Amino acid sequence: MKALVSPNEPREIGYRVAQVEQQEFEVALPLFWVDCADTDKADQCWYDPSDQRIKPFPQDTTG
Amino acid sequence: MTQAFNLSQLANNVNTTGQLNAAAGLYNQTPVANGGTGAATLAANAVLLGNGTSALQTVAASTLGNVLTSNGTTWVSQASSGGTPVVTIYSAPATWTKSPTLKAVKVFMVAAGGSGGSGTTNPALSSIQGGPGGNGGILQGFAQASAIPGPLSITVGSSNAGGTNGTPGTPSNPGVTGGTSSFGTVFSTTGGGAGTAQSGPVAGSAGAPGGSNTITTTPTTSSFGLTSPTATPVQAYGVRGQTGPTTKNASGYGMGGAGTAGPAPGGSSSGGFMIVEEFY
Repeated sequence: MKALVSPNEPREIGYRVAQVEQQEFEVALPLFWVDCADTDKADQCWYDPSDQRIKPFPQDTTG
Repeated sequence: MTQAFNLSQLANNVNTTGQLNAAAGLYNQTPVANGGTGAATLAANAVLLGNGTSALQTVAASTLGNVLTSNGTTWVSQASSGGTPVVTIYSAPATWTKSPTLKAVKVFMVAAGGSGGSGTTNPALSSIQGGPGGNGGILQGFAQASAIPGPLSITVGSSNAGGTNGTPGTPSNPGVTGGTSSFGTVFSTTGGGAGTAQSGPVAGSAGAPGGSNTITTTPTTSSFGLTSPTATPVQAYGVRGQTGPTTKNASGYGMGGAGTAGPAPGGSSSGGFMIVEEFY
């Protein structure tokens, strides 16, 4: 899977993952694509530029 | 004929104050050098052009919609070659081909909104809502032809269904992030964030607006993006999510869906669109 990273949209100490797709499509800078896990979903994780990894947001599990 | 005869004939065209009747007393067109046009007739509605000491030239109006254009030497009547762009509206992915005569494009695009989060079937929590989806980003850009690779892919962010309703004891479900809209590698704006899920007694939070700070400026391209309005939503381009519960599904373009309470799925979002104006 591919994650679309948007550096103009800060999240945590990194950037927003604005979209997750099976295949990339053309986007304009500063947007860029990185590989991600099949389970990653847009806006449920963020991109950390310090180690170039996608990390999940903390999740609440109460019902 | 004798001079006396000629003078008497001329005198027939002179009035009592000694003024010559130009309509009858002259037998040639008055030359330009003497203040005349040098022409016997002037075509109706024609535009007059200077021609040195020779008779004036004219340019006919010719075809409807023509404009007067300099060809570097003189003026001609011809079809307009600029000012009216070729406009195409896209609501689905497409391939855009760059014409060799293209001078510039202006692009207006909206990304898809995020859909809303759902509520739960737990009766004790039936008033707690999921969050509304954020609006899709809005961008307008201008690019000179030299800055545009071609052909390129047009992507229009697609709409999504809202989060499905949850069950007691588990969080409800968030919406889905709206899709990005892109004019190839030239302009892009991101979709609205998904509304988050209702979780226990805590309502879901609103999805973030897409496309924030989507601004580019280079010598050959420029664009600006709009951030989210935060007031009560209206049905327009790229506005924040519906508030539900009656009208939970987004309408228009780039609108987020409402978050819902109780056993109901979140509101669906609306997709993006793109207007491309080509200037030749």
